[in-house]
Amino acid sequence: MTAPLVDIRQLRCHFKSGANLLAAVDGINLQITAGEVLGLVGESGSGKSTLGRMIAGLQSRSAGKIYIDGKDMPHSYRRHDYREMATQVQMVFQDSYASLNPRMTILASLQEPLWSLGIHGQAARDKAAYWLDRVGLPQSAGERYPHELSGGQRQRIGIARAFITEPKLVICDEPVSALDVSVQAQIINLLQELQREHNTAMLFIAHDLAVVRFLATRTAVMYLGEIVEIGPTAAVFEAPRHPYTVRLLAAHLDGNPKGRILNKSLPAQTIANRAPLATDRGCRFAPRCHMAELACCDTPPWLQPSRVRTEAACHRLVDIEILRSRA
Amino acid sequence: MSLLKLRSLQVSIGPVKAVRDVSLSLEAGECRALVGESGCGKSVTAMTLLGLMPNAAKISAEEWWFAGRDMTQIKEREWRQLQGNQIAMIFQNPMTALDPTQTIGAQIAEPLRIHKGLSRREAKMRAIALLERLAIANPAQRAEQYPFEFSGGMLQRAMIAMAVVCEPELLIADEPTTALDVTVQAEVLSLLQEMRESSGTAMLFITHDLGVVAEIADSVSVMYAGQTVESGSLHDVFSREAHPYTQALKRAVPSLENPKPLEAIAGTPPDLRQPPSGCGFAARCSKRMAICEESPPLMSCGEDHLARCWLWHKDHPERWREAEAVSLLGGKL
Repeated sequence: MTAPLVDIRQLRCHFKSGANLLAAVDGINLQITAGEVLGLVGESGSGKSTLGRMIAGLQSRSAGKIYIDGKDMPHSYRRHDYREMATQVQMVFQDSYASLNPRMTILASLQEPLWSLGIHGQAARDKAAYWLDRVGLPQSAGERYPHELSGGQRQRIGIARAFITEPKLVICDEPVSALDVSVQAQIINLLQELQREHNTAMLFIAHDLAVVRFLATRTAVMYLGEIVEIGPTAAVFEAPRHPYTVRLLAAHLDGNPKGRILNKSLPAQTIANRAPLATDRGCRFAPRCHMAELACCDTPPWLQPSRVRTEAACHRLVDIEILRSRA
Repeated sequence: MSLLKLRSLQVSIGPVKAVRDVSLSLEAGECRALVGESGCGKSVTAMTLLGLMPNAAKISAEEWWFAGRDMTQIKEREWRQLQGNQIAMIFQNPMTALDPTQTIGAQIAEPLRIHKGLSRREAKMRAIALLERLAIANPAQRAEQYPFEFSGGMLQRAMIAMAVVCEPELLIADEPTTALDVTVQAEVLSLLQEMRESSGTAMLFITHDLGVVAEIADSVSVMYAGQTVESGSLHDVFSREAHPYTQALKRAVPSLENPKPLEAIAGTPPDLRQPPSGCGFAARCSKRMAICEESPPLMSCGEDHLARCWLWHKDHPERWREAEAVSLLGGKL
């Protein structure tokens, strides 16, 4: 097996919050191989964006290692680190307006990543023009400013900006959640096309399960700073093992009027969402879990591999399996 | 008689014709979903129904009845008796809709004091009882807290409490779950459902999420470019969608069960400063015909099922052929 493109070992990101230490990302191990699409799902506050930002070098970490293409990345980046990174990792953000300089024309914004790589003049302009066309915008859009474009058009620019340096990994942080349904489909299709065309690896962060299901080859589920389940997308969605994944999938509304789920399978969640703390013991999902027992509150679970199915971090996988086979 | 009847509502704000032709009706206790993309005028429709549009907006309707009142004739003072009392609204973003300088309890109690003339104490007691019903732990203590001390899901529940505290006849919910996580969303939706069943409140549920619509609505109105383009029962609009826009919308949404290729709708909605004279969707429609240069009226395509599309005109040949086939099959279809 070849070495993975991104190798993350025991990655932690802790923030000070009053007297507490907030564990936004807490001990994550993750590999992304070249050319694969890894979906990352979880509720807000689960740390999925922080994880993405750490891989992109936009967030310094508290502990752990990130290897990209075998290279040990420094804890916090200097200027030349970013330059070097430009051809490795790029990011597409949720808010396409905030991620573009309002005082630069679209064409200038597109060329900016090239300038930092030392490509200037006509060569940069040509490439920007090619990408403008590639993401389906007219050349006249290049002379415009971000506020003159619609949300969908701006997100196309965001995507072009990410792909223009031909990176090996593109991190998409909720790239379509701010868009309308009909535009969403255009952007998702564009992302998929580009990913296949350039064989780029992609980390696709989203809270919309259906979008991840559609795009990702592998899916990881995060809960309060930890990965609780990871595996091939089909396995995660069709045969989830972790109780949290089961709950998350059950809460998804699929637009099928016949299969209404409310007032049926969902027990009301009475415990308020809380923040993960560095001092937490045991499984962080235990207070919301119907399967929790004493051990869950004391010992943190670890990802248990399975030959055919997903890896899940839960103490009670065997019991759940037995219960399911009886049902 | 319907609780709300709205025929051909038009609202323009300066040069923008935000709502061009919206017709809606709601029975008591019914939940109607108003579906559409941003900029199609669904929020403007909601604000108009609640009397919250600025004076500069030009509003006209052929017919507008609410609870037996002719709303086209209504005075400013009468509006204030309706707002928050008989018509209430749940806003999309509770963080900006709530007053950061007042406690949650005081904000929920306010409509009771204004409309029902309750004392401060009584109103507070009711607010606390309502928070408890909405599954907020330690309601008495929580009522003394300020919005920033609440999580997103809890704020949305406080917002719901504020809207339902006077038991309104019509509750307008403007994308109440869009900013929430799926698990919290499911919880908020079941709460709304429960509230509706216990008090018989009619609900106008504005959303662009078809999954939510399927979950909660009895009937659906689809909006595009300031017009209602299709309306009917949930079953009709979801299983026998009649308007090409509704059909395209359904194909553009990824599904969890069968991840098939997405068919995006090419192009963008028209600029409502210069709305097209013909069908608003024609420029993006795959079934465009010559007649689409003319603006279609709402046409019947089944019992209580309307679509604003020339395909459903009684003289359209294909429809005519289909109708013939149906009659040949003895009406079985």
